[in-house]
Amino acid sequence: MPETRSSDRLVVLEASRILGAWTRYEDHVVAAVPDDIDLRFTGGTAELGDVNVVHAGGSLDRLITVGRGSSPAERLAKTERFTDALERGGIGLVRTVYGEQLPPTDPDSQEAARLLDAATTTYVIVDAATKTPDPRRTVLIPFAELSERFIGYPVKRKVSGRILAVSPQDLEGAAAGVLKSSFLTRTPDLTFRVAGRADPDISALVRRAEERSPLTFSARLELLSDAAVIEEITGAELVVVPEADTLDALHLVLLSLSFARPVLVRSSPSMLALADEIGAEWVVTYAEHVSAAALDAAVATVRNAQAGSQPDLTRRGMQTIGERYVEVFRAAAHNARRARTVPGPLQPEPS
Amino acid sequence: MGVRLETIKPVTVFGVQMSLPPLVSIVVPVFNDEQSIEASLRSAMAQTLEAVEILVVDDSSTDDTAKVVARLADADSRIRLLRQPENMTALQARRRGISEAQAPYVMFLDGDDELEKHAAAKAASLAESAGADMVQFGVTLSWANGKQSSGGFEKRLQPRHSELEGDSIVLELFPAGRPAGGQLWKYLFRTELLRNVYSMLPDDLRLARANDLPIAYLAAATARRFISTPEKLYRYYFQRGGSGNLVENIAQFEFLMRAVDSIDSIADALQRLAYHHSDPQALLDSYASARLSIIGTLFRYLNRVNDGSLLRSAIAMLEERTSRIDLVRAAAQFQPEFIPKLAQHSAPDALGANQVASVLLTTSVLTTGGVSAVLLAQARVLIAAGYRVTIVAQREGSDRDLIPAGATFHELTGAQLTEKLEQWAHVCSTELVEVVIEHRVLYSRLWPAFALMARANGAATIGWIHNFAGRPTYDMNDLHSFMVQTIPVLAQLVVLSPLDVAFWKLRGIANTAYLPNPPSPLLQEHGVMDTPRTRAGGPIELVWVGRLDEHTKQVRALLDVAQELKVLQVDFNLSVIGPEWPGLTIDEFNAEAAKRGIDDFVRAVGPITGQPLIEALDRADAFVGTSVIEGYQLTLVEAQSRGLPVFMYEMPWLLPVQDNAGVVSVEQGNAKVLAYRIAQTMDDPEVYSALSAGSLAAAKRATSYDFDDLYERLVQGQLPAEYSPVPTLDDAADLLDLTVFFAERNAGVLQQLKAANKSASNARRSTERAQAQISQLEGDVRKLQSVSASHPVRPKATSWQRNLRRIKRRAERLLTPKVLQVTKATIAGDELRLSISLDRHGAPLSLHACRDVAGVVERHAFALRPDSTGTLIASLKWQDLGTRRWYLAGDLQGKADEHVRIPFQPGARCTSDSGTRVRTFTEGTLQVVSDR
Repeated sequence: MPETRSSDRLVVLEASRILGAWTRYEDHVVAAVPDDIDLRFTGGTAELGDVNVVHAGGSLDRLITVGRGSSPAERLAKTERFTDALERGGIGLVRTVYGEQLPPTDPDSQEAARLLDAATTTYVIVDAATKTPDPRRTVLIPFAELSERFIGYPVKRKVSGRILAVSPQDLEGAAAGVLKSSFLTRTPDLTFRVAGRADPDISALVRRAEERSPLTFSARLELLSDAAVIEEITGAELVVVPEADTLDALHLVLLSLSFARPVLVRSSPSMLALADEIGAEWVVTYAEHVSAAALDAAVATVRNAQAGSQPDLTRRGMQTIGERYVEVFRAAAHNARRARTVPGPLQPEPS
Repeated sequence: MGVRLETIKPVTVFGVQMSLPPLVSIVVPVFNDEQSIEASLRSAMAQTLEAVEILVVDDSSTDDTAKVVARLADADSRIRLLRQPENMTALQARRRGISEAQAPYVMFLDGDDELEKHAAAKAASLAESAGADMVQFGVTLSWANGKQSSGGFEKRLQPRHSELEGDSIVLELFPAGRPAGGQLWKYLFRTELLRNVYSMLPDDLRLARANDLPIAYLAAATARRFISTPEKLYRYYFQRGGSGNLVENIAQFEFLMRAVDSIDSIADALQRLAYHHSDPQALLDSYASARLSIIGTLFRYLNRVNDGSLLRSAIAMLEERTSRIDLVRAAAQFQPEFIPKLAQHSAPDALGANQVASVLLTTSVLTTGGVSAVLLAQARVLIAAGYRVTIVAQREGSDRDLIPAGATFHELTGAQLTEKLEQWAHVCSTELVEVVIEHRVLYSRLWPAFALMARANGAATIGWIHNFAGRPTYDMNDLHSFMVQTIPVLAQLVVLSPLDVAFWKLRGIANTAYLPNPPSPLLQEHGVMDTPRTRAGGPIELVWVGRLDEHTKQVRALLDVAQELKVLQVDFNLSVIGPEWPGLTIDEFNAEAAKRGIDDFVRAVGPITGQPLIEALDRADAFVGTSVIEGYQLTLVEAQSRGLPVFMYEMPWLLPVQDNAGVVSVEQGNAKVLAYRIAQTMDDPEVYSALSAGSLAAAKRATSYDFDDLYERLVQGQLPAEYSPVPTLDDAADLLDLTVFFAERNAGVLQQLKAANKSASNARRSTERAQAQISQLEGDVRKLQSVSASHPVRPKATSWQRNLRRIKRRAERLLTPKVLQVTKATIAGDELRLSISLDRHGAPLSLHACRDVAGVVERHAFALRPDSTGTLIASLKWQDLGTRRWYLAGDLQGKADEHVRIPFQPGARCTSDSGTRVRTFTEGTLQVVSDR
């Protein structure tokens, strides 16, 4: 028998917030949560007992207790248990989906995905380019502008010509691209900086770049705090973001734009949509890989922006975005309860 | 699935055959291919894919090539003959073909090669199905004389990658560090790709050599998808037409060198491509490597040239066309075997042209050894003189505590020669090195590459040889020839004695000078004593200092001297001071002293340095030296600085012993005389004091050189002529004597080696025979068992069993070591007699007492005779054996070509009529021991 829940309080479980001292996507999701919503966070397993809504900004694997080592059969069995628990408890499942979702290849995993899709009360997408299995259950809530979250954090004066490859966690491909290509750029005053934690391959590239161009190259190879990331971003003229194919990467894109620093990102439907909305001089895309030509072109593009202009992120205020999520949670809880007690068509989605 | 293109045939419409548009254009650039063009074109005409066009571009042939093509074109409308107005090279012929091509894909066929009949169909099918811009296929290499090849070149022509995409295509098809080959005919290309490639090159570009490489390279750099098949679709006839590459005169080389123009022609295009490439450095590295590989190929041609004048001209021409650094890199990467010739024919930059301020000193690794000590002393002198000094160790593991203050130190950490050379060039460049002092000339064959790289970076190299010129003869290696070939790249050769100068000058190295070694830190710290010594009486205290290197210092010979001193009833102690060395440990030395019964007199004590060494020298009465070959021997000078007379085997070339009144030399190896001279001198206080005074005077002279001035003059190219004397006839005679002496020390080694090889070979054959017998035996056993199992009644197994036993016995005999039983050893007067009971193999034809001395076998033959009981009596003069341990080896009866070590059972009964007896040991050796 499911536990009895108080009807006037809503319990929301944020199910993919990995513990850490860095701001992530989930932080703006909960920016406007009122007192009558009881918010819980987990990056792993959790009791669903009195939970009304589970929200996942990424994979649900940890909550379902499966991983890379799990067999497809195990994944299916545990997913069945999880979706049964949701159904028995009348618990809403809200899943934020971003970027291209590769379907699993084996039948059991496909069935597990289908079960999760069926159990999903509402999909949230952060841009119109992302597709979900069911548009009728899908809500678009743009990624928030983040400067409000960091009021009072120290910022640096922009260094003209500085191109930054940064990651709050591990530096990836774009950093390698910048490192490999920087020496061939033709824009005269460019300098290059890499900031973030580096694996041995990236470290070796950094050493080589430092040897080759000690005057134009600098690096900060360590795990960066939010404050450090903001320092680095604000000190740059252009921020190169590793492929913006995750919510964490998108967070970095929005963080840069929130501090009025343009980004160079790999072209994708999501990034092209963002460039359309905010301006191609703020979101500059490259096709296949970072090259010297791509860096020069990006610098030329961002320098074409009107002096003193800012990216228009007014529709992405953190409070407004947070309130949209609250609406989604309330509707999801309602629909899930109804679905448990009164089988039938779902309530219409909030607009 | 790809389209089965063989099925594409011309279609018939209203009874009229309509040609399909071609799918593949086969471009055939020809020039004077009259003999082979018909076969080539017929292979193109025979393609199973009919939708081909064959574009023959005649580059103004002067023979009947065009007529042959025209005749074939009359018979097959798919052939088009395009004629160039003048000879414009195959690069332009291909351009014409590509521009006229109507098909979406292009293949190339040389006028002396052939296509397999499925080539166009299969390659185009792959391109279509994979959406590829480039398709590579396998190649059959045939020699013009019809021979098929399966060598390395043919392997290199085959595809190495099944599929590639994007920027990685060029990096994988032209990987840095591997030979780059154009060979356009091993690919099918998308026509548009090649048109784009040609658009990157000047319209009027003509390339006489390697003109396929730039096109293949740019195609790979711009292709987005590559696929391959291992199927061999092209027959390449090597050395038919213009494939030969002989260099007989400078004009021929100049023509071959135009290959460099070809690869250089795409340099600008490469820069543009790199600008858009995801890994531009990798692309530029790949291109640079392809360029070096072209130079490496030229070196391959030159390596077959023996005409020195032609080589010098060719290298100078290539150096001017490329750069010194490119030549070194190309040789190191692609033709390391050419480095000695490159060094031989690359004139050094002379010292003294500019004022030198920065000097680099290099050796393998910095240790406490002699070469490092000299290098470090030089560094200190040069630093004190105000030079910028850099020390480079060629490998890791140096003792960094030794590096003097003020010197910059680098270790070359690269695993490959090419990596080390790049590190070396970087050091030369960043430290602004003008002169290199190379200390590995006698110890490495890699130094010429470093001298060449230093030269390429504007630094002259001075090479230092730290041993006597006779060392390679003594070591039985070919280093002399290598050095004579490579030393010309040095601006100056420095050796350690006037006789060394004579040697190298007589060998043609004019810029040779000798310099003394600088004083060791010990000498610098403690100086030279003022007062000669006197002998206080009591036991004679002798000292030897050095590493326990048996090969050059003959450390065990000290035991011979000690034994002789004992025979002379001299009361003495000999301290052997120094570190162990491969081949002889302190324990082994002391154990040998014990075996010889002189451990109360001689003791190896290990290394001692600094003040304790001074104290040890001061406790001694004399220094003993038994080296056979040395370069300078600073330990001798150190001993003389403490007033010690020196008793040594003669090494007449040594600079410190010239006009040295403190040295008593005796002929090499004569321990008896050396011991006698020691005993005699120690009994005469006046002679002893005179020798001591002579030692002090010699040490003062050895330490009195003005090294600041000498090294200043050396690096500035201003050494006084007295350090580079002209060889005299006496010098030549001395050098001949010494060369003969060193050569004769190795007399008989070749015969011994041959014998050892034969024994090893026989032993191997015996083992193989035994193993074959055992296998046979096992097979027989299995058969027997199967027969037994299938017959409830005991079969006729007796013959099997007999056979088994016979084979088993034979196998056992073959595998059993041949053991002689030495039943009795007798010393009678001068004679040692061994009574040997014969085993089933019978008596040996000959028997020797043998021992290994530094890798060389010393042998003494026994006289053999059977006695009346059938026992073999072997005898020789026991004095010949000294007190060393000997093993027995001989030729076995019936196998006269065998000369093998013969183990024998120890524990023989020994009788003696004197105080001398024979001991036998468990490892199968025997020793004559004196009880006196």
